[in-house]
Amino acid sequence: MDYEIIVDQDSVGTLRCQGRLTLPASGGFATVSDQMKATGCRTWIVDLSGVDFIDSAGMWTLLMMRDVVMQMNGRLTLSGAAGQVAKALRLTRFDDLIGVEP
Amino acid sequence: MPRLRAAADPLETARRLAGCLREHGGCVETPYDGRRAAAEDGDGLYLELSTRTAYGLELARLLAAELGHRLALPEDRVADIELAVHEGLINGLVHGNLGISAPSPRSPEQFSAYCRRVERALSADGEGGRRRIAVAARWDAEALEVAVRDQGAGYEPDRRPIHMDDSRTLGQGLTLIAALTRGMTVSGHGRTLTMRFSR
Repeated sequence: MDYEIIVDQDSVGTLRCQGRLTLPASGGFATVSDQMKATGCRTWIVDLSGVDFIDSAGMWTLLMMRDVVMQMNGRLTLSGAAGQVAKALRLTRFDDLIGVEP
Repeated sequence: MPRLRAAADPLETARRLAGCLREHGGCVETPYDGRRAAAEDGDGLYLELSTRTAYGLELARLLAAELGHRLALPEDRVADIELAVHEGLINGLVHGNLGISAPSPRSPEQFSAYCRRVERALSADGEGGRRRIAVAARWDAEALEVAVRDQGAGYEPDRRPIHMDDSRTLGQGLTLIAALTRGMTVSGHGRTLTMRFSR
């Protein structure tokens, strides 16, 4: 998974993901989580608009991101999911677990 | 039946695989153990690859695109097939052929260790990486059936919830497959997963 971390002037972090969010592409997740923690941000948006495919392992990594942010007493929201990604999140009722915005 | 020889570059292997699928209707990676492919005849595709090769390819994407092309399927049906087959393949490759269980409890450290176990098992010259995964697709005018068969130790299937349960571990692939297909069957003591789709 390719990604970019952006922190705005209000200390809101955005994790912008690109490509496929799958098990074979998720090996570097611990690095992502360390970088998120290092920013000190407690409010996070995961921008999925650049993700064209997600599998159950990819959804699991999103839950781990949420766990990491919750441990910092923060909040994580998903945004920009479309196509296959939006459908997979909907089928698994993912919005019961993480806030999902358009 | 044409034979696929895995290239060092996964993209090159994928290109060769796509060529085999498009031109001939099936492929078997060499070296092959000599068993006959189950779907060589009739309307079908059959692939049999080593775990090492299959994991490095976007095999479900290639297969779904080819099925979409051959059966003139709508785009959203192709996407459903890709995800369901992908989940079936990952289950067969990782939990079946490599014998690696999902990490628990959920944590970045456990997940990283799990990913490292998978990578180590694939890179080592061990039995798991050499085990085969077979995919057989058959269709008629109304339905498509895709079966994924691994060579792992198998398991006794149980009933799974149809929603992502926050407390569960990584093993949610069957949940997605159940939601994406018209039906699925686990047989062969957990080694064969057959998924049925409407056309």
